[in-house]
Amino acid sequence: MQQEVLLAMLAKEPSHGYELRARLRQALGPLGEAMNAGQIYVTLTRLEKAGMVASEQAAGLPDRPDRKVYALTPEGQQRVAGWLADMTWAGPAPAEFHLKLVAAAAARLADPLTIVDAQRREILRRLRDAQRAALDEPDHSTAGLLLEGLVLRLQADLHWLEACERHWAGRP
Amino acid sequence: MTRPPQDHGLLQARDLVKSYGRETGLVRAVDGVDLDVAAGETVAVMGPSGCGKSTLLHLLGGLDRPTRGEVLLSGRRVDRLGEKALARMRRDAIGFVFQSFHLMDEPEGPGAGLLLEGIVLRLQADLRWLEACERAWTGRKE
Repeated sequence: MQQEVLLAMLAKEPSHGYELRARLRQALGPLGEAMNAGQIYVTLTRLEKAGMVASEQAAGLPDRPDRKVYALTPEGQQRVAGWLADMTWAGPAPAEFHLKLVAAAAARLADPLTIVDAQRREILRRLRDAQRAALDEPDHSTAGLLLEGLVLRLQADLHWLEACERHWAGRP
Repeated sequence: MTRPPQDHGLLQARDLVKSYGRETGLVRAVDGVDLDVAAGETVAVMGPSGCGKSTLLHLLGGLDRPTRGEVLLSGRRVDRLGEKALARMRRDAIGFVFQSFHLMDEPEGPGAGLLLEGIVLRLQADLRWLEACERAWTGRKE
């Protein structure tokens, strides 16, 4: 789990790890299903060591493994402000797949067109899953909005695979 | 499909406007387009790069929402449909073939132009998603 995400969620109010997890699941919907609680606690522990969050033992629940309540420190608040202002955009270049085709063609490891075809089937499968999940979401759900972004990305990638196919079909 | 009212056409646009930005940075990509396309009719839209052809097609295809004006498919307002209804319409009633790129001059090595094309396509998709986010978060706190 990305540190800044947890920090920014703590900006609302001090929270238990399990509360953060519930909010994340709500916002991510089906895309958050793979997320496990352990990732959140590992990240919170690191953030505490780095002085970004401070924890207090919550009274009354001595047996709960997540009895700590985490709160942002001033350093953590600063980090959140920096993150909000950071315009980094993740993964706009499908470079790894592109290099796979280039390397496969150069060493004659495999036919690039076969790889493109297999990749397309995988993306179509993911697209169907995402579209189905999006239709299952209630109106105005934040998870539905995230799924919409995924669908748009996958559609863009499908168009790009068509361009890859044309490109590699033209050069044996 | 049912015949549209008054037989104006299967696909109609009325005073369609799409603008980006505000005040001095205002750009009107589409500015007051009226259009009637009958069933079976073929229409070509021509113009130089950047004149708004793609924006117009995105508005007609329900991929984007107009700043002003109306889009009607079989007499039904498309520009006012909710996201789900729009998704269904795009799935059931609209076919969209995206323009391909021709970045075949490759001074930077094998397929460098191809990789750029992939970046452009993803960023265009992400821009559309940002617009969806803008609509979703307008007037909403969480």
